[in-house]
Amino acid sequence: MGRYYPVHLKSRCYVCAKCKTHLAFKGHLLSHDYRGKNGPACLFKRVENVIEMEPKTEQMSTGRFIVRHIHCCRCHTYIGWKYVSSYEPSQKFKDGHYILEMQDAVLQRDDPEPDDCFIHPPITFLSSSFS
Amino acid sequence: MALDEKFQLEVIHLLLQFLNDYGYDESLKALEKETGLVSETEDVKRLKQAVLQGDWITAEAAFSIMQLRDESKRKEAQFLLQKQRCLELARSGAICEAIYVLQNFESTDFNKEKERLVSIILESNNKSNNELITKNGYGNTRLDLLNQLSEYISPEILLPKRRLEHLLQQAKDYQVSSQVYHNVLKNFSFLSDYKADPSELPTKEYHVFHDHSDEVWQISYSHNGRYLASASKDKTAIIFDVVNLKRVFRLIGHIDTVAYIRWSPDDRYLLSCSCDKSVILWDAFTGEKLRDYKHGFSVSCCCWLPDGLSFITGSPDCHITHWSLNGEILYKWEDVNIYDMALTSDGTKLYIVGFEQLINAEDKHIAIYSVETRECIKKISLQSKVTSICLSKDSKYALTNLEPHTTFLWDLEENRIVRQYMGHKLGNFLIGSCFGGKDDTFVLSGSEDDKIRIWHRESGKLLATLSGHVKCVNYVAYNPVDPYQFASAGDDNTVRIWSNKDNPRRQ
Repeated sequence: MGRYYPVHLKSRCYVCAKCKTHLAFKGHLLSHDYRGKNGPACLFKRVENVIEMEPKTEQMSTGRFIVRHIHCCRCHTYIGWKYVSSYEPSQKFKDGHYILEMQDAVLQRDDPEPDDCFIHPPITFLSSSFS
Repeated sequence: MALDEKFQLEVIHLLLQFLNDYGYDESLKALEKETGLVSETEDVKRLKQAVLQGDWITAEAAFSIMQLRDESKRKEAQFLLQKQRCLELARSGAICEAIYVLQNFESTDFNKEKERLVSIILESNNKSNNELITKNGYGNTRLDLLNQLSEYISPEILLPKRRLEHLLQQAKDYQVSSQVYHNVLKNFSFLSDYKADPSELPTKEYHVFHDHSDEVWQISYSHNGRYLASASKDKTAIIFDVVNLKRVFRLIGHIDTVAYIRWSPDDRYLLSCSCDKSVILWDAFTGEKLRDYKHGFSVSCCCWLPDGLSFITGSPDCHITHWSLNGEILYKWEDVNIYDMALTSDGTKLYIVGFEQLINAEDKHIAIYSVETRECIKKISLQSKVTSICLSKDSKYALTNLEPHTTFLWDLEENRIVRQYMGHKLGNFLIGSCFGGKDDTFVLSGSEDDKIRIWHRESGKLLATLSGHVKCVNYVAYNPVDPYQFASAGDDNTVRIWSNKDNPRRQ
């Protein structure tokens, strides 16, 4: 897969339930009123730190859409999908937006404080090199 | 092409200077006799003689009839003569005469320097210390003065010194730089045009290490070029011996992906950065873990200070931390999400590659920090995400990889892009690039299309596209000692060694 470059979000954000990778600003939440494959879901304007799968067509209760499933870029858990394109004109407002499954993405309460850095005894340095 | 008469005369002047400088007296006389030209006119000889003998009156007279490159600078050059005269008088103790010479120079353009000179002369006289004159920047010899004056005189009258050698050096530099495969200069001769063969490139897969069990994200050569350290998603780092092509140590201690690895300046230690929020210091001689340094978030990158007693780390949580080896935090900066960093070889400037996603905007930049003052010297805004940075050996240039498929060469003295290299694929992951060759004449980059590309640095010409890896190539690193070897690391769990020769053990 390659080394991903995680984006750290400084405002309150939704994180991966499994590995806590930052996924979306709370400020980018557009709607709570969605159902995912596994229960309640939310519509987001944009998300970060995800891998988008190949596009495919899916029939949903609101119509047919071309979607890409999205996975957490770190632990690769399935977390939702991106609306690529809607067949129904009335659903076009979803294009380019993302669904996060609320079972897989949780709202982080606080930024974690850095662990205290404990002190070690000094290391004895030897001045030599490979021979 | 036949030279017209003007150029013929110029070539003869060049030859006369050459023969004169290198003491070919008989050839010099013969050529002067045959052509009727002289290496130096009587006027030039008179000026030289007068300056070298300290006969300032004659020197002034001789210089006054010289044709100059730029007539508007005659006063400037004359001031050099008077200054030298003044200084020599001062050193010999004739203070009043020295100051008198300055006061009588008929120009107000140099009054500030005159005042400075007078105060230095008086001070050195008061302290009976002639060294003060030299220490304040006035230690010119008469020969130095002649060289300075020659730069004001028209080249038709007095050739710049060593002109023929200068022209030949330019020709050599041009020939070398126009050969895109140039790596190590061997057997250069002016008798025929220089040719660099494609075999100067390390394009042959020499060895494959299969020791990692997951993606290999970064590699780093020891400074002596004998060892290669690799950092892997399998939570370990490995030290390989690239001379004997074997694994030396597996460094076990991290509990998550190892993302970055760097050798200490003396190759005694290694630092590895991990997604487990720690950096570990390893003994590269024994493979033992010596200590770890806890961070609040996964650690993207690090670099050693040249004295080997401290290092700096960067994280996507926007912290840049300066650590001493004994675990003390010396300083903390806050920037954006940190992906890569590089330190100039003298340890004075830190280059940070970063990105920040704001609710309504993106901040993509390279930041430059002074390590000594800890201030941000400059931020260069970018249009795309930069995913890696690598400095040249002389710290004058940097390579950055940008989405979606470009490596840029930056001039760090002017802080601008001077060249770009294309053809590879960058977009979703952190892909590294590096300089290569003996004098950093090549640029190499990994790519998401499983290939490695080598470009000629100066022209941007693609020289080679190398296959071998079967998945994304995350990182390339060039051997700092062997100009014919580099290594690559990929998602296919392999580390590969490339050379310009075949591995006899493989046949």
